[in-house]
Amino acid sequence: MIKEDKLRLHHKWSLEEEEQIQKLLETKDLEKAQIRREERELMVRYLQESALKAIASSLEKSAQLLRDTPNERKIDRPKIKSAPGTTILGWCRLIFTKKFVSKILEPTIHDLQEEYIEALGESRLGYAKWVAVRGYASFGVALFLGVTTGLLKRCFDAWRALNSG
Amino acid sequence: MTEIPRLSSKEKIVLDLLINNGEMYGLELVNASPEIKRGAIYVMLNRMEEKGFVSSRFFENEKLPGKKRPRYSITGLGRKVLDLQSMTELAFFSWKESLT
Repeated sequence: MIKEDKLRLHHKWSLEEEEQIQKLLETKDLEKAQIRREERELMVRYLQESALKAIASSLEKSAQLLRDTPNERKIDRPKIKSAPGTTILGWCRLIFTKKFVSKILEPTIHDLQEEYIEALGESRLGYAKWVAVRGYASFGVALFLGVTTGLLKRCFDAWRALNSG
Repeated sequence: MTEIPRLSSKEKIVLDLLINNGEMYGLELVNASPEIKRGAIYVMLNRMEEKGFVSSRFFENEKLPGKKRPRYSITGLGRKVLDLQSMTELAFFSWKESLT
């Protein structure tokens, strides 16, 4: 039985007992009323003690659970995550030229972040994840195309310079 | 020898969109046409800028404060090349029709 139901039953029983005692007092049966009142007080004291014991036991269990739980599981605060692509863009800034990053990589990541934030703003978590995956794929394609076209262009320029000279 | 500027089909779509809508950024172009892919748009725009068909200006992104992104617009050369390409296509198709 749920604790709340138990307490409600105890309270109901206590009220009924009080009514019975009042009736006995009205009929001038003082001896019976006195006995019933003593019994009721004993019962109420017993119930109060058992309720206190139950609370103490529950607290002890919670304390034990906290002692057994590893530290990292105790703190369950929401973490603030950086927008997708921030770290990878930081690495790219170290590796590639400023022009290549500002003209090709940064706009691709900013588009991804914009769409991601919009999806989160609309509480579409599944779509936001899909946007992130699609954005990373686009970033990979942009990186591949940018690097290969840059290399091909350099090779072509070198070939033309050799031919013209 | 002077090089004849050429436009690919996707470059033509981009120039058409820029003529119709004025300044646009990459995501707007991608959303406006399903033929343009997200991964390729900025590489293509960069190449077109190097050819002189489009020009870019960096603007503050209103949805991502503190971050700038380029907005592209068509140049005079871009317009001329697009007109030339359209005229060539028209001439080719009218010649093709006259044959049949």
